[in-house]
Amino acid sequence: MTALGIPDAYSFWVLAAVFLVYAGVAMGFASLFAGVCSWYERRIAGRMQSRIGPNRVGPQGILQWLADGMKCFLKEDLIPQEADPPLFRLAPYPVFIGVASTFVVLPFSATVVGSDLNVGLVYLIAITALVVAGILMAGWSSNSKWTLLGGIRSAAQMISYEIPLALALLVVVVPAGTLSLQEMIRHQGGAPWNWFVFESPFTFIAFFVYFTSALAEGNRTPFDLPEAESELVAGYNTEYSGMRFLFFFFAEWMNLYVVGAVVTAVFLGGWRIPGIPVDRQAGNILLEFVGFVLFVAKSLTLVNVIIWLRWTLPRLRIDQLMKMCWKYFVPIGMVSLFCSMLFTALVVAVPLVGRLTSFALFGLGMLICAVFVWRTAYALRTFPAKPYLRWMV
Amino acid sequence: MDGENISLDLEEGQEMLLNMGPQHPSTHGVLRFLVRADGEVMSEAIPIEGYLHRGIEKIAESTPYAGFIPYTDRVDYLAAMFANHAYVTAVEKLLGVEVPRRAEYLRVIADEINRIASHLIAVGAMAMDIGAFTPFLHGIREREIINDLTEMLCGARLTYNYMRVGGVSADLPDGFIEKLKGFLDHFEPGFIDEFNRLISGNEILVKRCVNVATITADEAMDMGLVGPNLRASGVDWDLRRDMPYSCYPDFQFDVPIGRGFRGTVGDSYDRFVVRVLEMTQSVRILRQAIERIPDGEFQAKVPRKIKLPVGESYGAVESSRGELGFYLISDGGEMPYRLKIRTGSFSSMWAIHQKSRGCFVADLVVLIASTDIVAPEIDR
Amino acid sequence: MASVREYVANIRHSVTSIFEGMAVTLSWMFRKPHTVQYPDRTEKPVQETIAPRFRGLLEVSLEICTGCQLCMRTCPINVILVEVKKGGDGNRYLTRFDIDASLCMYCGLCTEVCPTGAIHHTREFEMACADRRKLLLHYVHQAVQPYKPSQKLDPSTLPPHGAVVRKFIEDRDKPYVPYVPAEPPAAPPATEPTTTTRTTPSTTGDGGEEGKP
Repeated sequence: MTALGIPDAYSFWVLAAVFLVYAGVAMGFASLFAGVCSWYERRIAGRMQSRIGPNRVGPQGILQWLADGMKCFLKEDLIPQEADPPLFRLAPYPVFIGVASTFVVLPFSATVVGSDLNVGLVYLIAITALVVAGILMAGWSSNSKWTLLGGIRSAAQMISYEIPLALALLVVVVPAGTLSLQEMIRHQGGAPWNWFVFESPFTFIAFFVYFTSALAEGNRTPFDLPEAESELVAGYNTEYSGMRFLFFFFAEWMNLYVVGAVVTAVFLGGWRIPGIPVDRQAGNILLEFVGFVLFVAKSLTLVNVIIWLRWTLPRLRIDQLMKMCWKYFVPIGMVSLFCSMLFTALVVAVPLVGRLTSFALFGLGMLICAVFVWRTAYALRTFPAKPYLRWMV
Repeated sequence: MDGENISLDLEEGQEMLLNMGPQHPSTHGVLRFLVRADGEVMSEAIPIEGYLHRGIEKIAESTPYAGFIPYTDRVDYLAAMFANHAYVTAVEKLLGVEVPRRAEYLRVIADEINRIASHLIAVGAMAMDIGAFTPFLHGIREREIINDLTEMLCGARLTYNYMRVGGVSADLPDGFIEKLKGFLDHFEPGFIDEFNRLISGNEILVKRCVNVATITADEAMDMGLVGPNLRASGVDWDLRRDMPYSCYPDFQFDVPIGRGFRGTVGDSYDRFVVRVLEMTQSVRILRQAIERIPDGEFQAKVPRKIKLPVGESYGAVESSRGELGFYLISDGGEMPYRLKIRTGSFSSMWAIHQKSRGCFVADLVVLIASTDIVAPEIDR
Repeated sequence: MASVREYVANIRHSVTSIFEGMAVTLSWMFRKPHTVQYPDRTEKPVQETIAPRFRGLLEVSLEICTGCQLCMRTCPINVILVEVKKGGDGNRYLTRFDIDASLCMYCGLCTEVCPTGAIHHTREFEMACADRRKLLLHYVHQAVQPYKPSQKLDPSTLPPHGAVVRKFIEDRDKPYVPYVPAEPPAAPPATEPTTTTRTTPSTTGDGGEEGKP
């Protein structure tokens, strides 16, 4: 700070102001994303269900989220009579803070990051645990047995799934050698076969384990039993209305982006551009911008996959959820972690194995995508489903 | 059952009383359940019906026979043709009217179309209650075509009022057979295969439904279940084949029976699959009916004011929810002395009550959805 | 070993069935949606696509109504009110034909018994309005004589199908005007020569108006 000519006495305030500005920008981005994502999800859901989503408010309905937000904003602030007012009022905030605080470590580009903590991943996992407290508070303070059930289910689910989440991330930490997100991205290459997801079979498995665990953390289908509409009428946030409800909603959608961003950063090469080394990217504004666009594009692809999963799959029952976590994901995560360490040692000794594995796994990834395309084309071919409606009468 | 006077002794500090109230997204109508639960595990789910009671049976006592047919639509609005059919069968038995062949074929065509529509909602709603929203909307989309077909046929899309004493209300319009054929070619195997790929084989749905609320064949018979619920438990009983009515003896069709497709015989998954298979069989019947439909009258000559002789009759059809029967007691006048409606959903209520012991609360939703109850049928 | 096989089979089934389902949902992204954006973005006006037999709002062609009141008697819920009164000249007059469109269940039983087809379903259905009283459709504003089939009316002189109901639909948001039932005409003025001053007593039982100019 003294180097920039600012006296020591003010350095704290200047730093605080800079952080506030950054927080404002990040929250602006996050809120905008959350809002537009809600519209986007409804459009995608509509198309998958052979209907159009909201398309009336504004061109193509793009202002729908604004209308929903205004509606919630203007609603009456209801607190149930028997509810616990301080807890009830407090509950949305830990949920929101838990998710919003992750934006500190999310990288956007080579030099654009809130704070490149050298324990970035651990910070991420730890701060999202705050959400559990918020949900429990919400479920309990609403003074309704249904919300209580929803809150407890959600808490059990979230704390259970933090373990495979952490294990899967650790699997990638082994070849990367660092917990910091920016460093991880620098260790990966730009081209797809240099990404960590294709680094070893165990990171490949860890990708799926992390992705599923992150879905469970975010209470998304197929793990959305706590907010299951058909069973608990929105679970722990049944009694919330207006702005308080919006906080929960915002948290859920911001979490989508966070999941996408973390997966991109850790597994999919982050903001690396194929063929360009890191040091060239760091200073160059154009390359940084391209990196930013790539990063956001990859994150949004993953957000799309999450939305796609939500509208395809039914939800798991709570005991099946827990069984899946403890009997499938945790053992697989642990075995992957152990084998990843062995594999990394092998790669240090024989680098050729590493290169071959990367290419082989990249081929496997492409094969999975090709199978998808083939099955989709098969579906399109065997069931043309022209609109058969009343124009035929 | 009167909600206020149920005496439940909850174990102190162990059990809680949950109310799955009359308004709930997954109780398939206005139906209330008092659930005694120890956390997630239920010890009992007591159904409380009556929220949709409209006194249809009492209204029948002051409505002429021909004028009561629109009321039968509302007994089960998803399977309205079946209710119409059962009622006019009961009246015709007492009146001694011979229904023309063509009218019988028209009745069967209307019935089977309605069966497909009803099962689309049944399996779609079951998938929706389990969390998959997409198959329900795909089913609704297909049902729109059926709605358009019935609109061409009788003028209405849900409450058809199509059958009359002695036949049906109108003959097929021009172009109906072609459109129906087009729909059938489009529906099977195209839609059914896609539906199976989307949700019937989905491991999550399978895991949610297998071994949940297994009803064995003996239990099903004891509880008086009918229709797909009974057949999914392994009992080979279908009114269309075993107590034939109308012109069903002319058709060749299989009766799908639960075999424990992925779990045990009689679990919820069997009930789901049996309904999907029944849709395929309905398509088969429709294809045969279209080819063989004879020419003739669409309604027998019946007096304007129907006066039935003194007596009793029972007319039953195999509706999509089981045996839908109308028991009619006539005292010689223009209006029935007593009309009793027997519906499949009412028997399923006892099955739900019994089978809910020991299930999870989440399983209760699956159980309700798999027995395909509709509140208007329970309460009438 | 069996449990290991089951374990692996579980994973395999889950992955394949989930991917298969995802492929189906993805395929729907490439098909056109089936939504018909009624009422303003439809390809054709909706009324042109409705089946001819659609049971929409009931309409009465008074020109061919015979005043038999069969529809009133057949209706299971008594939403039709037909009044036929004797006029001053001894003829029957239709003074009232009300249909309560809010109660009607559009079953079509009345249209089946009508001997001339005067009461029929139209393909109109857009009668939703803010005032419930406007849903009681009054078809008679002036007493008319019922139709006698021997008159042999030319069908092409009738107004187009649905015209009366469309007028109701157009006026549905206008303020409610209380309905005054029509009255049959009184006895015609006496046409006997003015020489005799003997007044013929009125043959009607209404009003007490003498038929004097």
